Amino acid sequence: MSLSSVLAALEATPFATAIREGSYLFPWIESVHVLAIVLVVGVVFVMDLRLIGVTAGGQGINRLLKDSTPLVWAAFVVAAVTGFLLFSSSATTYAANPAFRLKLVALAAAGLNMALFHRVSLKGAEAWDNLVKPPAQARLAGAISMACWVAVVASGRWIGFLA
Amino acid sequence: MKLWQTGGAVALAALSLTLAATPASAHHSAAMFDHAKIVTLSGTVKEFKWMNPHGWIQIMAPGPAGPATEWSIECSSINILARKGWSSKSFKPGDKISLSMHPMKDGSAAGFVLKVDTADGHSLTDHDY
Repeated sequence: MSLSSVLAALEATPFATAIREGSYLFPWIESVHVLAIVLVVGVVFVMDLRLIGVTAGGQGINRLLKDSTPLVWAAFVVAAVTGFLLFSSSATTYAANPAFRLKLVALAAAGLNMALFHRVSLKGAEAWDNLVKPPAQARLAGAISMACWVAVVASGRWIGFLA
Repeated sequence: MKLWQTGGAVALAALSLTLAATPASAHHSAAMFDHAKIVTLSGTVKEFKWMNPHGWIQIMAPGPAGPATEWSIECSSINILARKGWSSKSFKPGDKISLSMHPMKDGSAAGFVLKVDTADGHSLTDHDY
């Protein structure tokens, strides 16, 4: 089964059809999607700005990570589920949309950056936990993260201009 | 970072790259209409797409590609169309209609629908009404 036939089958499901052709589901799901993204990006930025050394210098980095990570993941799950539902409503069209593809690439980059930071950079973080300006690799991870999430939001908004 | 979080991030990356690798097709912008101009088209419905985030009327009418140009005419969201009295059965392929719209600023065969008059003499309104 090819990807295009999977996308076509997804688009033909009853829930995708209801979102595509109904009056209320699409705007409600879209609103929740945007609010969830606001939460993800807002909390990620709090963490990134701390890593870069711009804000919250009085807060330990590991403490801030422990507090923010569960919130980011919870909001991300909501954003991903609502995003998948919106995607399903016109799966074949969105899959071909260059802005949508760019958004997925930016998401993947944000995810890889986060995974690398947590797996590699954070080792030995106790030593710089309370530094207002953490080492270069942590600051770089924060800057890359912010750039990726700005790209996710901008390309996500751009999907509608290429529809 | 827990293992499932790493797994999630990697799975997301893999899915993203898979979808990003499928071929693209051409799309026109839907945001560049000339709101100072109103153009009337008379022609035949090729397809009526009753869909979110907004509907489309594909109509064959005289245009930049000759007397049988396919125009993509953008409508409002389903919620708004339904409240203005439109339905998925408002048009079917082959219907003769006349519509007014704001055309694309770049002259391509697309527009922003204002009002549609059907062959049986009733009107449906959308943007600006």
